[in-house]
Amino acid sequence: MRKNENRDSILGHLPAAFSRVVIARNRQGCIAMTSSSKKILLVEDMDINRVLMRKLMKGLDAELHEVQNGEMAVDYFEKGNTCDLIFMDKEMPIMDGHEATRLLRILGVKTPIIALSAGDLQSDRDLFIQAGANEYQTKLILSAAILSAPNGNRSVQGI
Amino acid sequence: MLGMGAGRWEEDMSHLLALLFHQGVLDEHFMQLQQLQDESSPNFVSEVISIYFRESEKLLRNIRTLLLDRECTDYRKIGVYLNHLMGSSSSIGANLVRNVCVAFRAASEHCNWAGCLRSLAVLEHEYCYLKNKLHELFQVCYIQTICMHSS
Repeated sequence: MRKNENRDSILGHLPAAFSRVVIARNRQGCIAMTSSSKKILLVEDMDINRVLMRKLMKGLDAELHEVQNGEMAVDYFEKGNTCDLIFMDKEMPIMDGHEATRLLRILGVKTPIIALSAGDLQSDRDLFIQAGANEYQTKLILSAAILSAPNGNRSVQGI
Repeated sequence: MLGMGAGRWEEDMSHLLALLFHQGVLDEHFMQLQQLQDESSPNFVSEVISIYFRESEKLLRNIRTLLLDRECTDYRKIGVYLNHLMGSSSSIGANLVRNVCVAFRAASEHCNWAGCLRSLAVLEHEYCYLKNKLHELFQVCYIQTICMHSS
């Protein structure tokens, strides 16, 4: 999948989750979220990757929730929580991303899941898709897609 | 030194970055990291790199500890630590370190103790080189900032 296709593919999953995320600048130039802001669950054990994702998500002004392994992600939903999109890391202690994805689908969780990985092995991709992930992306492509998303007025319609 | 002017230091920074990209030490992910730095988080890159250094050194120590005992080396655990180091290296654009981890991981998957030791030596060398160069980069950036404010 070429980079442009990757970007459209990633952003194509965000439309279902972000029907309209409008970012308005008030008089002080601060960015305010509208009431239609959406919730993302980040499932990631490494501190550095969480810091990066927080910064990337700040650009989209989404509400980011974080858990540090797959088991915590499953607990999150078992406790009745919901979200609009899940970013799922692959390598995590206690329960990895493949297993967490599989269990979430067994639980009936229909939230789109974007699997993230540092590498681009076809075997990893296949395992994630078989487990029920909607999309598989390397972290590089994801951040490139988000960084190249419309800036300025940031009216992310259809994103 | 400050009399050199911000322009000269900016040129030095560009040259250093170009060298690191040319050597394959850094890749485009580092540029994405720089794009995330803005007025609201002016030290974002150095903060992220500091986290990377802290986490990487811990992982390298753990790997070295695991390789101390040739008879009871836990290669599965070495693989887990290497995946973490690969992941964080990839996240900040430390391309060469990441690639060395890939080769190291192959040795660990074959339970090749001597190969792992050799790979660890290479990994530690490349990591040290990266760390020194990034420190140099931040130093130049810092001096450039001072020059800009003093002019």
